[in-house]
Amino acid sequence: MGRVEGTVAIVTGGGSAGMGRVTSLLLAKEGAKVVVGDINEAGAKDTAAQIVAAGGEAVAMCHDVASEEGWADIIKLTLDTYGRLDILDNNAAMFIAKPLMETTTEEFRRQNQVNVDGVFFGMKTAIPAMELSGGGSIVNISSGAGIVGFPAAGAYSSSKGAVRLITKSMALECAQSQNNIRVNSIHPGPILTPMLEQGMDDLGGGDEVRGMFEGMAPLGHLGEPLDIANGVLYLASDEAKYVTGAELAIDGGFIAQ
Amino acid sequence: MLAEVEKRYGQLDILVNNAGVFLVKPISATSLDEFRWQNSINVDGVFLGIKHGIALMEKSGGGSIVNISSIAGLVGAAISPAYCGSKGAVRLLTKACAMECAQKRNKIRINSIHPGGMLTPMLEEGMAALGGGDKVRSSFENMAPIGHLGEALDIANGVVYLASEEAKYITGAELVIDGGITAA
Repeated sequence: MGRVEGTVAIVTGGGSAGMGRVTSLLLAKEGAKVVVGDINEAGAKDTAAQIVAAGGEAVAMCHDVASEEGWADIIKLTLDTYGRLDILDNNAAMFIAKPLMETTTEEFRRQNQVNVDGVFFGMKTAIPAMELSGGGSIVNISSGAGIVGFPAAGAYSSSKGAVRLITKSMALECAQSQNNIRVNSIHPGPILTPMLEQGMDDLGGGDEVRGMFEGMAPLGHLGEPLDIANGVLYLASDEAKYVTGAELAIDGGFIAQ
Repeated sequence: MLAEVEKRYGQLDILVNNAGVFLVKPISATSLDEFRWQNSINVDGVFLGIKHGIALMEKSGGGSIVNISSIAGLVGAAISPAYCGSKGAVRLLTKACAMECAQKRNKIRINSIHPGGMLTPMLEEGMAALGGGDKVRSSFENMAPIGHLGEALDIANGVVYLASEEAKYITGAELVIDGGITAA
């Protein structure tokens, strides 16, 4: 019996060969049927195919988290296909690696559309579907940079700070309505994903930039997507049934300093 | 105790510093002896556990220490200042020792768990000390936005997660299991 046996999950950004894919595969391995959304449809299909090849159930969808209509579509696909929704992993994000003084208004807004609007729309559209299913668990991927300042990426840091507190507010709103939905955030440190690799390239790449990210974590190395997937699984499962509005740092000690 | 563990099992991988006492008294009524007793168990106990646990874990190639702090180690509670002080100490002792272990690259992770109102004998005793009855009990239940007390298994699940390899990139972190109390 899997740790999320019989549940239905949506993972956004699930086509990326980083946290999204690894989390989708882990949830499926532990018994969830997974709706894999990604703006990169080929990537989403690849993830879903890997789940099916491993004996699980999954469907893929081209999904832009910054579009409210896109959210209505993915919730409809989920309910039409599997009849319920129990888990939402708001994983999709973008990372603009630039100091604030060099960030344009356009970039700042784009950063927030994906990282903040995406989480807002996701929770807003998923909660009614979860209520019909008797409850659920939402996991929002924030960042260590949502707790402490991060001058290499100020707009990103700001967007992730918003995710941290929209999580707590929504958790309290759900608790007040006693709808059996828990909402928590995860705060990854430097995790070796395509998004971080892109960010490192944007900052000039090379050993020096990589060393800077490795050195951010007192443990002295980058984390891997599975570290985050394990946290999502814990928070999504009934093991965490008394955890809501909490923030789980998976960061090699980054924010403990 | 550690000598016995080493003799019997030859290694130590996980230490759960769970033992704690809960003094329910306003600061004006708390004697210095009571304050010290509170700290001797809740703080000295964790200090001694970490200090000597690490030595044996290093011989075992690494490990995971989970210290049970409290939400009273994150926010103030008027009913138990000495308890709050002790649990706040556990929170930061955890982080400092986690950083020390990370610097030493000894593969030992150290994290804290912060339970809210959990139905345990310790809480039942605390409720009795506050006069007991339904009113006191519902004041603890209503502390949690989720609307009820947690159970010991909720904390045990968090301990297993942090103790296991699933949490291998987590150190110096605080896992709050409180039904939403400190999110408000």
